[in-house]
Amino acid sequence: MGHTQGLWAWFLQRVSAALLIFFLGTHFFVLHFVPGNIDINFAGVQTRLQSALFIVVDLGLLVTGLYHGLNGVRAVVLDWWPRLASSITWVLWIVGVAATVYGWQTLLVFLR
Amino acid sequence: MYKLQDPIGTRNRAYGVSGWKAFSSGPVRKAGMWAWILHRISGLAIILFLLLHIWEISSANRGGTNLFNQTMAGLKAPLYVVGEWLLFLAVVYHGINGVRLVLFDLNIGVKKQKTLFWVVLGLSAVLIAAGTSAFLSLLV
Repeated sequence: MGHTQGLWAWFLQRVSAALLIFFLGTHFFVLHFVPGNIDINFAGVQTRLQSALFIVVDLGLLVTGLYHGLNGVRAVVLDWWPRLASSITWVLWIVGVAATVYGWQTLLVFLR
Repeated sequence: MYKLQDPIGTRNRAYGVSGWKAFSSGPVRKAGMWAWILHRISGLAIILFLLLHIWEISSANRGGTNLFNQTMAGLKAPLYVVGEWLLFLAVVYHGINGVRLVLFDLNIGVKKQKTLFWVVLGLSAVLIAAGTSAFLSLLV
């Protein structure tokens, strides 16, 4: 189990990286470099989220961003304390799932 | 077998704790080491931001339309614009250097890692220069 888990972590880190280049590129461009979008408010976000593309991008960012970021934190923790591998993996999974659920609930507020 | 257990960025992660110590003590601050430590630091900065970002956007969940609009208005303060610009630098570098790391995984350019680091910095500089005006316009 140990070996395959590490290999999956490595592989999914690459997959999420590739997805993030697309998702984050879109996100950054739309929110910072499209002039009309600079002013962010509830109604504006709600209007944007009428489009399925934005829901997919936002949900994709939430899941892939958290996975990639927390997996990266795991790599840094293992730099310092390699023995903590299994406990830190558990802690980070809990943080990740909690943050995903919380973020998803927020997305639902805009979709209501 | 340790590498197989956790082969994240096999080549750069091999430094481990000795990487952090060697970098901070000086003698091995070469291109590959800079690339590695900048990737680590920008990565940590980005995940810290992501967690804050989820919290800040979730103001809509905690306090509805009013709290969300209030929070967004508050985030227009120069401090946050500068913070977002720094985030932009971190994301651009991390993303482009990440492509460099994936190329190494595919056994492409490993022997030219130093040159490729300069290419990463060059491309980052171009993208940052192109994007910076959007942030400047929010400050003035």
